[in-house]
Amino acid sequence: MAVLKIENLHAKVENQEILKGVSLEIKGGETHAIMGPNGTGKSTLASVIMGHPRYEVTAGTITLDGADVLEMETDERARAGLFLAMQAPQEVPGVTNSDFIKTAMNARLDEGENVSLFKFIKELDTAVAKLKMREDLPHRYLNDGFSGGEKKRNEILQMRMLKPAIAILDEIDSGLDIDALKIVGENVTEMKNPDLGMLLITHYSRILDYIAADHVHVMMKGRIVKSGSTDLMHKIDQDGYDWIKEELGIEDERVVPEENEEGILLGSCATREALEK
Amino acid sequence: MQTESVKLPRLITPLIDALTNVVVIENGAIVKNTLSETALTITNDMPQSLIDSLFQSDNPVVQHNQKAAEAAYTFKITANRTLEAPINLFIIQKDRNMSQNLTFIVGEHAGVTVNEYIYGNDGSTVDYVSQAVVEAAGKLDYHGIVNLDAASISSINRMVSVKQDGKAFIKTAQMGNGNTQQDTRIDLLGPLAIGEIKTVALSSAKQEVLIRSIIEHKAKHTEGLIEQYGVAADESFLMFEGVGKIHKGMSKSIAKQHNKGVVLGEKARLDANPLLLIDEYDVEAGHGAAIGQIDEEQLYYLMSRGLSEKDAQRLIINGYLHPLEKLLENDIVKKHIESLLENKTA
Repeated sequence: MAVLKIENLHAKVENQEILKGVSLEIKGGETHAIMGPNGTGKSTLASVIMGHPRYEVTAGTITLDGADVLEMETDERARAGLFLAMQAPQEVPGVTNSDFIKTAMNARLDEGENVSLFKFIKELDTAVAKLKMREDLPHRYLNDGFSGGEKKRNEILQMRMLKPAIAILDEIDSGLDIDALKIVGENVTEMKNPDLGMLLITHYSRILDYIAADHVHVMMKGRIVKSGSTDLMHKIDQDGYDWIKEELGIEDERVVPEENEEGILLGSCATREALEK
Repeated sequence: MQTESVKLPRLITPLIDALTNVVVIENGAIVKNTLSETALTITNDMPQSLIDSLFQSDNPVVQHNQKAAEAAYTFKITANRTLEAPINLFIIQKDRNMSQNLTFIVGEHAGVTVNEYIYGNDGSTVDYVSQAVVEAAGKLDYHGIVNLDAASISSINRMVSVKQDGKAFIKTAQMGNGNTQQDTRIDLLGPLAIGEIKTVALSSAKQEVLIRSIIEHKAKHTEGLIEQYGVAADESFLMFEGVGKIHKGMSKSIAKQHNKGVVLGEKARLDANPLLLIDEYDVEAGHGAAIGQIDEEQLYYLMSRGLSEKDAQRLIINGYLHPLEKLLENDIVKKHIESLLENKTA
């Protein structure tokens, strides 16, 4: 059973500190959710765990089963069992989904060994069907020309194929319509098992209607400021975040300046407004 | 069919043997021909009047070739016939300098796919010119792959004229190691003619590669697209020029162009020079160029799935071949090109 342990993590981007002492432990079989308004450092946490080159860790530790994650390159982290479903997956024209996933699976085997082609195709076809994606997905270029929803489903498809020990889903719900959200939710829930630890990062609680979380955390000012059970989620759902800010005496919860948000704010809030109508 | 030679270009014999519908022209002579198409005739000549009327060039190398090529063949596809299987044409030059000239005539309502492989060994000077005319409503898919050895010098000029309702889709790959200049030109002569040039070029070591793609719109309602993709490695220099030219009065025409390139290493250089020359208001035109290092975000994304940096880079660079997509449907050719690529970017 895998254990991802984050202790007192500090990280900065372009000389601006975004994470200011995050501590969190995720064990196999657990599903954690980090909630919080935009700009509080949630996505930065995900990127730092996966080793995005833009972020610099200034203090603290991350370990996976005792091994020092911060010492590993991004690809080593992935092969050690970490997976990040990204908020804005890259488009890579010219690289087919099939070639990409096959190469990723082979990277987990010893040198010279390859996944059985028959098994691979069967598994990929099953995953495509389960995520209700276009049948020609294996031959399409990686996320190239995909709709927002397709990209998100493709992240979950990769998760299905790569079978990580710890999966982080960063705003997997943003940009999804209700049907796609249901498909994603069902697939993730189906993957749950005592060996898989999950961290859901979300701005809005509706994804948690489809993927049950047993630990809920609230992030503000680059730190986890409150943790609890699903009750906490329900309270946020009803009352928003203001009561937490009041309780903790936080005036401005943000730590990421708005211009660095790259339109995420707009996307998430637009979905929310659409739903509330 | 190959005569013995220690300096035969790498990898070429197995490729020839694996393909069907093959014509091999070695040092100017046809040494193998497995074509059995009744709709296709090959003659050992240069159609001078056609060249004079449609393929005048201001390039002195081309002018000279068109007068004095040492070997010339004309491939003619009968009107109203479409050849289902591609013609695999090998032009191989060994141990000598040569100028060669090929002409393709695609009849009215006819269709053909030509896969052209130009190979040569070290020390050759390769002067190659091809002319293709696509008659009304004809369709030509023309895939040109050049793989010449490091000490070779080459000038590759391909010219296509497309008449009314005709279509020409040209894909070229410059995979060789020698210094080279490659011009591809399409003249859209009749209304509703369509022309596309998609090029992939790789340069490595101290190679200098100049790639020019030109589409001229000489009729109304014509459509032209130029896409050029390149990878420059080591201390090489790769230059793309692209010209979309719409003549006065040729309204409702579309000229588009896109250049994309990756520079590997600090000493390599890649320039793109896209041009639109437009003498008419009522047209649609646009161009873009994106030249730089390998996209860090793409690299990170692939690596976040466990691919090593090297594997991730290889996939992304392989991805630059996607303009050759159709050609790569053939597994044999795909393998061949990928191994060339691997040699270039290892």
